[in-house]
Amino acid sequence: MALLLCNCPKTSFMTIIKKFDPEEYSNKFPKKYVVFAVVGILVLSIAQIWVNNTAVSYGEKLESIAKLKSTLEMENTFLENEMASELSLTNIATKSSKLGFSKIESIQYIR
Amino acid sequence: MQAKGENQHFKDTAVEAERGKIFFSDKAILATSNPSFSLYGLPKVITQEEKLKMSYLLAKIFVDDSSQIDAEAKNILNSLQQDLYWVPIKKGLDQKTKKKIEDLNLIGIGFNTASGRFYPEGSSSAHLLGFVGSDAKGGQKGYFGLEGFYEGELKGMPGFLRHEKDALGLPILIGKFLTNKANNGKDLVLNIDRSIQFTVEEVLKQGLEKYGAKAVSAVVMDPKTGAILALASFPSYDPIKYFSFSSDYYKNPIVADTYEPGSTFKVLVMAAALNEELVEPDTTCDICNGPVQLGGFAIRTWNNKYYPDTTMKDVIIHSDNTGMVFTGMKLGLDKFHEYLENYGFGEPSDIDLQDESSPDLRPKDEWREIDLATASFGQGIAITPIQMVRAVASIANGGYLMEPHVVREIKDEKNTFEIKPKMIRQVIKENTAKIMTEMMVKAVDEGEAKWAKPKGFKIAGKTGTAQIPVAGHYDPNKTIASFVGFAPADDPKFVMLVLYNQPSSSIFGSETAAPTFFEIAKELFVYYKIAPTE
Repeated sequence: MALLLCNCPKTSFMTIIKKFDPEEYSNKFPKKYVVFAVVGILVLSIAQIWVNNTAVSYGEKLESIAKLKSTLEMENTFLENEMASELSLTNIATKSSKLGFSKIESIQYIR
Repeated sequence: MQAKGENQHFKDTAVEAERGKIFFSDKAILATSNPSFSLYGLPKVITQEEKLKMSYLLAKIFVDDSSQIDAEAKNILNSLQQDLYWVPIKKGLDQKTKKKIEDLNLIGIGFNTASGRFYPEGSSSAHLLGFVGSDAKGGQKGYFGLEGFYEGELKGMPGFLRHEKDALGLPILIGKFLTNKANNGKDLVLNIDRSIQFTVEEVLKQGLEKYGAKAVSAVVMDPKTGAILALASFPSYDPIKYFSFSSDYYKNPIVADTYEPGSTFKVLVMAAALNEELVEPDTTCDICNGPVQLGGFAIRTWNNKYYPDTTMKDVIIHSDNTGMVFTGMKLGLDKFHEYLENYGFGEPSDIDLQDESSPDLRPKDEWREIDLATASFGQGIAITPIQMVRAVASIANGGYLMEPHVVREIKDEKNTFEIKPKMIRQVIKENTAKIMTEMMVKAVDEGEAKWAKPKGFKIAGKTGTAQIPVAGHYDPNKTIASFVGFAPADDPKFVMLVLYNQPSSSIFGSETAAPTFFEIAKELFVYYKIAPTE
């Protein structure tokens, strides 16, 4: 901004001309952005508080999921082992003899 | 203070590494991990009335025999009556029992989980497997056999989980987590064929009883690759209850015991002499018309029968000790010793089983003439069964000494490491191996064990009856009866050694080990779909 004095008679009044600089005007941060930023921070803060409060209460659920996972894994192991027992040759040999199967005594080879 | 604060704020959980599984060659499980449970009680939490009631309820679950319930209940009650905060009640519970107890909704009890070994085939392959016991810190540790040899691979690396906890001790979802993942143990896939292993074990169990022997062992190997297809010894032990057996049972006789091979050794000495072109199958023996006198000793044949001008072929057929003295002398100490080393005697076979022993070869300068003479028919020399079977495998496969291997693959979550067949050296020429094979076929067809041979199959083999040295002399009634051979002779699928320690029904290999060998061989012919050729 600049102040200019005019070369006028004494009676005349001093005129102040205000010169507006367009560049200076464009550098100014728009208020609406500030408002948006403040509102955003506020919303995020509230959301964080909500998430924190909610998430903390999920600890119990997390624990129960971990326990369930462990139980299911253990049951899987038990089932695998039970299958292995059932499929063992020792078991098959016992069952086959109970069912009347016997060892091959004489084999005929076809030439 | 900071540490104390962290301790209150964080929860550390150890993540156990699962011990690796052991599979047969067909990927059927031989050994795996199995969770078990320990029941504990909190005596301060349980009222006197509840303790009494609880003792009987638990006893009914633990004991099948109703007459034992009172005694069991008393034991449980005694545990719960102690002035302690925590008492163990029962260990080694399975999941079904745990479920039954949980259904009772009892207050003041809980379970701890522990991991143990599980063997779907029961006590099968005990000597092969070894067992899993405890180390000094109470952790799992493998001893003997595969569990001992591959302890590093099988045990894995435990990890831990650290997470932030709330006031109730529950994890905070958005809290800090630090994980160090547990690396489970690697799995082993064996060369052991479970059908062959099962057959061998069944036949050996029957043989032990039938021949009234102190012990019996057998090993079956693929001569071309050195893969161990079956390995068993009796008496044996249960790896899950190893602590109930004397530690004498833990050793695997196939790799840890030494013995004098007797006449089975003749095929190796004869092959060496043939390879050096010092004898031929039709070379005649000019010292075989009677006992051979050497260094003040008279060397006789096993049945005191002598065959003047016998050929080398007949020396093997008749298992003629004097003929072998002739062969040994032809070979000379230098060559004899060199071949012993080339066959792998005096050094470990490097089989992947813990506790392998390897008797030293006597230094060459300590050999006397009589030592060379007796060693040529397998007396006065100590070897292990695994050394014997791999040496004979070199005749079966065209002359190559292979490294025996029980494990075929080592697998982790991402990679598979294959153990490839390893040839150590060529011991004899291919042509020598062929000639020796034919001589061994004749020994089976015309020798003492011909009555037990399955008809129509071409089997190469040799019986052995070695007296056991006791207090500086040989006891004529205590023998190691053995039979070593391979089949089909022209393209062998297996080489097998059967050993009886002190059989009582007969002391001879031809009447004990040979029939057992042939019985197993018959089963293997069916299994491998091999038809008779003769």
